[in-house]
Amino acid sequence: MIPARKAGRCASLMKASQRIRQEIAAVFANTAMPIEAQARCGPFGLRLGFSSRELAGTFLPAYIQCTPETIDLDLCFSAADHHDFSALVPEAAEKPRLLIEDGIYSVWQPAVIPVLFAVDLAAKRGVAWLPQGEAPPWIRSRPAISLIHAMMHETPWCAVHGAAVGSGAGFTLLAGEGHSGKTTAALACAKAGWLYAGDDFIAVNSETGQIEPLFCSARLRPALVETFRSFIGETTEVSDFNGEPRHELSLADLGDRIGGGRLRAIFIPRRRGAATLEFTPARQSDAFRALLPTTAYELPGWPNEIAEKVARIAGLAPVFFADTGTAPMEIPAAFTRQLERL
Amino acid sequence: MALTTTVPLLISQQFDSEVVLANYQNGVYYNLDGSAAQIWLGLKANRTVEEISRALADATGDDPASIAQAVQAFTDGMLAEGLIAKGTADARVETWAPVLPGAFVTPEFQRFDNLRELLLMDPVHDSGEEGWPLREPHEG
Repeated sequence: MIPARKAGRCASLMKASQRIRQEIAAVFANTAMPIEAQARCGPFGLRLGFSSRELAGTFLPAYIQCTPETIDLDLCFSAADHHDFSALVPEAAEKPRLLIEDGIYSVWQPAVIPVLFAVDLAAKRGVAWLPQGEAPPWIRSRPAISLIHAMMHETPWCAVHGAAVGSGAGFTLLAGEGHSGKTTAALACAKAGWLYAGDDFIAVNSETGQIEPLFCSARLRPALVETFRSFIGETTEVSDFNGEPRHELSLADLGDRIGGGRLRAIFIPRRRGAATLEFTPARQSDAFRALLPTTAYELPGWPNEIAEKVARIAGLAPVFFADTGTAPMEIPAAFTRQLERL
Repeated sequence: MALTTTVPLLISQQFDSEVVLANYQNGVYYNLDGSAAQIWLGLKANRTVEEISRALADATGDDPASIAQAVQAFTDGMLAEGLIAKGTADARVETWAPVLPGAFVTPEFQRFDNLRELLLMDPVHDSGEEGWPLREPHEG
C-alpha cells in the first residue's frame, strides 16, 4: 500500500497533459450523455454530448445541427454536478492558463464565470467543463471555439473573427472591430436571402479562400431589434454582460441558407457618416489589422501561425473599406454591385 | 550587443513595403511604412544601424549624417517600445537592400492601442513558462 504522502507526490509528478488525457478518457468511458446531437462546425463534424438539459439548452442553439459525413470530434459539455474536473484546475486558479503538450490542448478561463476547455487531439475527444453550470454569453454564442482552433492547427483552416455572407456574386468577409457594422451588414444580407456563414467567427481556408460557417448564432444590439425583428423569436434570450445587452439569436431557421462559399472580397465596415454605402479601396495590411486582433485574442495558442494564416487570407481577395450608410436594407444591393464589379 | 527583431509575443507581418507589428503582451499594434519599415527590415536581415544608415543614404542620395542620426533615434524608439530587443541577432540575409522610392523621410511608426482593453479581458495567448501547474492532491 502506498502511503498517502507518497501517493500524493506520485500524482503531482504526473504531467498535466497526462492527467487531462486520463480525465477526458474517463468521461467518455464511464458516462452516457443524457442528451446527444450532431453538428457541423467549419470543416469538422461534431458529436455533441450534454450532461443536462440546461447545458443543451444553453449551447445547442448556436450549433448547425445536421448529420455530418464524419465525426472529427466528440465533445462533451458538463458541469460540476456531473463531472468533477476540479483536480485539473491549475494552481493560482484566478489566472487564465493555456497548455499545449503531447497532443493535449487545454484552456482555463477563470474570468467571472470560469470555463475549462480541453481536447485530446489524437483521441478526437474534448470537454467543456463549466464549474458553475453556466457560461458567459460570448461563450454560449461560439461554444468551445478554442477547441476548434486547436483542431485547425497545422491545417490551412483558420477560425477568423468576422462575418461572412454570400450570394451568386460570391462571398464577402466582413472584418472589423465590434460596433463597426458587421452584424448589421450580415443580417441585412441574410434577410435579403443571401447565404449566411456567421456574424462573429467563421472558418476560412487560408489557401483556397473557402468559407464555412462555424455556428448559426448572432448577437444583436437592442438598437437593431426593430430592423431585424423577423430574426428574433419570442423566447430569444437577452444577455447583459458588463452592461452590454445583446439578443442572443439562433438563426437555425435559415436552414440551407446557413452555408459557405468562396471568398470574393473583404469589406471592412466602418461608420464615417455616409448616407448611402460607399466603398474605398483598402490594403492587404488594413484587412490584416481588421482581422487579427480579436481573432488572436479569442483563440489561445500558436499566435504566429494565426498571424500567418490571417495574412494569407487578407491577400486572397480585394479589400475595401465600406462606409455602411444609414439604410441597412440597402446594403445587400450595394454589396452585390461591388462584388459584380470585381 | 546585437539587436534582434525576434521578440517574445511580438508578431510581425510584411505586406509589400509595409510592416505590421502586433504586441500580444500589451495589445498594441504598430504600422511601419516607408523608411520605418526599411529600418526594421534591415535589422531583421541582421544589418547594423550603421549599415542600414549607409544603405538608406546610398538609396536616396540624401545626407548620410542626418540619416544616421534619424535611424539611430528611430532604433532607440523601437527598442524603448519593445519592437526590437537586445540579444542574439536574427539570421543574416545575404542580399538585402532598402526599397525606398524618393527622398528619405524621417521614420516613425503608427501606434494603435485601441485593443488593450480587449486584451486585458482575457489574457490567454500562448503557453507561458509556468505551463499548467497542477495543484498538490489533498492528503487523506
